[in-house]
Amino acid sequence: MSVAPPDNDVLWARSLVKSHHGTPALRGVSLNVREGEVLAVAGPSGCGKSTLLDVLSGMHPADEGEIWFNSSPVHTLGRVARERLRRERFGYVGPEPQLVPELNARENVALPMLLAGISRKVAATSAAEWLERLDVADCAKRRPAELLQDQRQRIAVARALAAEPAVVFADEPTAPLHRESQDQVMRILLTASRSHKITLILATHDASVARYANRVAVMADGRLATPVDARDAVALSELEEDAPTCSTSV
Amino acid sequence: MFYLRVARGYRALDLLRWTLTSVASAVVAALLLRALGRAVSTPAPAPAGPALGRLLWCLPALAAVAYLAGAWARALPLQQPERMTGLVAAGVGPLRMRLLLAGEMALACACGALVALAGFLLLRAHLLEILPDGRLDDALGTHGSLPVAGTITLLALVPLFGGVAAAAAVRPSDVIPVDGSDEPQRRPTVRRVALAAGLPAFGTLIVVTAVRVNAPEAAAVGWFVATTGIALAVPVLLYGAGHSLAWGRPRATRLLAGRGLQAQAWRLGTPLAVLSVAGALGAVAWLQYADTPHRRLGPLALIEAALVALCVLGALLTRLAELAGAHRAAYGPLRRMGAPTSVLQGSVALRTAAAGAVVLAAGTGAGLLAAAALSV
Repeated sequence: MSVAPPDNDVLWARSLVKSHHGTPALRGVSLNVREGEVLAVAGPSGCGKSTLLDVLSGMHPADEGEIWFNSSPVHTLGRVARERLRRERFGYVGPEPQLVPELNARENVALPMLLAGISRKVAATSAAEWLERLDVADCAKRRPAELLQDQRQRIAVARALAAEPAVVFADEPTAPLHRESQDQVMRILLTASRSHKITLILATHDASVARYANRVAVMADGRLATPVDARDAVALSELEEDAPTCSTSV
Repeated sequence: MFYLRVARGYRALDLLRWTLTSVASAVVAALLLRALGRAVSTPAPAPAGPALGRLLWCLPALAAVAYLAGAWARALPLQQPERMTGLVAAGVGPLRMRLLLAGEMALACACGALVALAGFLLLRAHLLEILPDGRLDDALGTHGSLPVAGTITLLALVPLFGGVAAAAAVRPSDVIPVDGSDEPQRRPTVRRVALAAGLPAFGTLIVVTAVRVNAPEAAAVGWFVATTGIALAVPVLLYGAGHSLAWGRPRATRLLAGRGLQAQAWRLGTPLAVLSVAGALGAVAWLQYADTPHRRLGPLALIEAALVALCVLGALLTRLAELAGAHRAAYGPLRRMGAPTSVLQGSVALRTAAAGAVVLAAGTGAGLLAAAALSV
């Protein structure tokens, strides 16, 4: 029998199991995410971070386990209902910009809003504003193929935030960015999260990125290696051991 | 030896493609051999006109097979990316890759031509009978001896055309598959728009004037100019249709349909232009023959028309399959953001309808002009 999740958790997952063609990616992950918080899921590549984000965001169904979003079950939803959830409540930034190649930057940013049924005028204005915030307003009319990878990723971040979703899933969002713009983009993500009460779930293998989070959940081999706790010094130091190139002095 | 090893790795689709190329080449080779047979059958002091006419009749079929071979050679790198990466890793450069692909197509054409020759020889030796009473003797040239050099030259035309078309169609940039999204979009240049607008107008003017003063040669020239212009205009029209679909503040369906059509205008434009012109010509030829009762449409003309139609459709389908691959890349982000299936299907339907309207308009234009030019 399933237990109803606590009310103040925007996302609540219990014993998630998922495998890709027989290879286990998640082996019983339980986690809760509170509204408006920034949660980093950290760990080396291949530990199941991306799969966890895919399953939580309803992109792929879990093999076993439960997911609740705002106290309503996600694991029982069909494909169409999950699509609707992603369209209306979730945003996503991937390790690659993943823009629609035939649309220009502004149309790419406006597209999730158009799909969610927001008025076209509002979508256009909001897209322009978010491009401005991410310093790519001058690229508004250009297509992804004409832009630098850094600019494309900023557009992808603008796309995820513009519809003001309840939860933004960011899978290695700073991977395609230059070192100096990583900080800026992370700050924009955090500011948006704070000002619009957007919950941010951040998958990263980089300790310096994980440091932006309110809480860090360290994953290894498809399991949460340490209990999720507030900016756990132990968790971060473990992560730094895994990725020595990212080590920074505390 | 290389091709034997390549052929061992063929999947059903590759095998089908190879076989279809061979069959089409065999039909063209049979048409060429029939022209040769008829020439051999005519007694010695014969006028060259009819023989040349029969050879020229084979040209549309030859061109159609070459076009198909080109379309398929161009699609190969995208369909077999692992083979291309393997060859590139083995040190095969763009030029040699082109030669290899062209050789593969030429080999398929040569096999078809050889099968046709074998059939021709068997029929000539009366080892095989299709029609009784020696009704085929004229076409087979059983009354004369077959010139060896002439036969080889004629048959060599098929793999030569196929191979050259294949080599010309493969673009060096396509050989090593890259992410399609990194290819910047081509916009119509001012020159292209001017040509697309000017040539059809100029050609139509010539045709209209020729109809007034009753000058058939001028009408033919005018028709040729106008049809070339229409073919050049199809990609521009597709781009324009896409642009107008996404005009103003469109909803998601209209936006995706319009921008998608704009992005595909150039790759879709060529096979659609060929389809509209060939379709228009076929329709006009059919109507002309239907109007003249004493000239019955022979089986050879029907075979040739069917061959051309199948080649044009085959090339179009190949290109559509190529574009479907590019589509899937664009659908990844759309699925991720939860785009409903109805929006995706709606955009594809809208895009198809717009492309269909462009083809219909271009085909009707080319057809009307051909009818006018023939009426002189």
